[in-house]
Amino acid sequence: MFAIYKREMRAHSKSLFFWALGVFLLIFISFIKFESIAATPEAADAMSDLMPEFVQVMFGMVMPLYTPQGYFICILLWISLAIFLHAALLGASLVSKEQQDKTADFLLVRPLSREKVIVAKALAGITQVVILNAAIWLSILVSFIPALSANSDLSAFIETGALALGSDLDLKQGIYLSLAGLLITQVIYLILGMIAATASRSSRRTAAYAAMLVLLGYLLYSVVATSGEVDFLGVLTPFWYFFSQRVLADGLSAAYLGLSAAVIIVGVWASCFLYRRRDVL
Amino acid sequence: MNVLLQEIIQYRKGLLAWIIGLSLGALMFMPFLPAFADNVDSMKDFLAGMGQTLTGAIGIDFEVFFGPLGFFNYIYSFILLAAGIQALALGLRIIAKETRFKTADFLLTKPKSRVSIYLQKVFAGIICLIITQVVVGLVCLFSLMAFSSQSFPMQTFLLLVSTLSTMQFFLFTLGILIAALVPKLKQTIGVAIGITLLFYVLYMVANVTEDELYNWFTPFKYFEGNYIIANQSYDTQMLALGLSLTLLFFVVGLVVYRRRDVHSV
Repeated sequence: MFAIYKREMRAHSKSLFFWALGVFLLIFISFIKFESIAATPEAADAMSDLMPEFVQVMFGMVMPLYTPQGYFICILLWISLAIFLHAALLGASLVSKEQQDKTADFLLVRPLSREKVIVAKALAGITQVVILNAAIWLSILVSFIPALSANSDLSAFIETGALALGSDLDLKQGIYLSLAGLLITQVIYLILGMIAATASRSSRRTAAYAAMLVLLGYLLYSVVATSGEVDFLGVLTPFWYFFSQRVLADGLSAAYLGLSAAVIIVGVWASCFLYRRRDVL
Repeated sequence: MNVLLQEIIQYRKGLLAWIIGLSLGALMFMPFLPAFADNVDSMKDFLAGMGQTLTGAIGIDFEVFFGPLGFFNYIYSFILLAAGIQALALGLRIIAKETRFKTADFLLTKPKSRVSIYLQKVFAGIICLIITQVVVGLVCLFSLMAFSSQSFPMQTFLLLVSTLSTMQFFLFTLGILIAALVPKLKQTIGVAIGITLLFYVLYMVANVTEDELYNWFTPFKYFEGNYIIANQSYDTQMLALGLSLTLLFFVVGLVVYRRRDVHSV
């Protein structure tokens, strides 16, 4: 089992490196310039204000961008779109690569049950999403957090943002909690990607299915966040579980933490179950 | 011609899926146009009550910027993002799949020069992308006409729609170059999403911070809709940069592909 884990880690090391580097840079350049954001309403901002709410939510502009909270929510939504796709695609590829590379029979004749293969692969996947999350964490630590405390003018905007959110949570604490929520959602998408790959007949289309899961979740999140009345539908989209606006306001929701744990455990069990019965060619 | 036909046939299902997805994406947003127009009207009244006009407030042509085309331009950046992923993924895939599916030696032992194979692959991709652009452009035109109560300048609209082509060709050739340089590329769609999103977020950061340094690093700035809305033309300098980079990627890709080492199965 450990051999599979090690192999999967090594096989994805290069792509993981580039993802981590890319995400690190992306966040760094997004936040390092934060204090230069002018609070004057420019033409583009006026444009966003005039958009219907659904469009605003979809583009991540749920709060004014000149507040640190609003900017963080917006950037984090885009980042999460990217890293959820990474997680789902990783999960799908962990399972389907054996068939694509025609190494499946080599792997499955080893004296290891199929369940152990899946669990080892899932562990390798989880390690990788943790590393990617750490890259985000690190990047925020060196860009956004110093920018927040360096500029004393910002504290007024932090106040405005906190007031708009109606939260008494410390902003830094809220940011760390959002990142923790992000990590849990990454793991959920990783497992969903693995289920997609074990459930689909063809091994070539799994990447497309996994990507579609993420996009559907994104669309559904937009609907739920816009309407404000169909919160129960949020159960269907991992984007909503720990959406940063809600985390910044109220911290991680216990109900969704429980749901996430259930989804992850049932998901691993389901992919073991499906993989055991799968006709591997 | 065989390679070209084969590539198009192989991509036909994916092409159809992308065209449907992009068209649905465009259609999904258009029903919001009347609500947007209402918001603009009420803001106009508000400003008129304060004895001000918006043109004075932001210094550009109000009727165009907040008209149907302004709305369309805002939405279109989202479609450009998705279409960009398609183009980049196609560019990566069209080169990388021969090694991925172990068909490289089958293809390269045919009595065809590598230059010819490369050109046919590129043209097959360009044909597929042009089909996408025409269909998506038409869908945008008709849905905009259906939902807009105001008329809009057709020339500006065409310029806006054409950013889809320039953007897709840029990312397509970039994909080809990357695939030629990195022979062991496995998952193309992940790489495509990563790179395109990187460009998009750079574009957003460039807009929010208004730092000109960022403009040089993202194709969303080379072919920017906001500039077209404001000036009724492309930013010539940026357009030239974008197009010459496209050409450069194409040529360097050819040079690399012609000389690269391909492992047999």
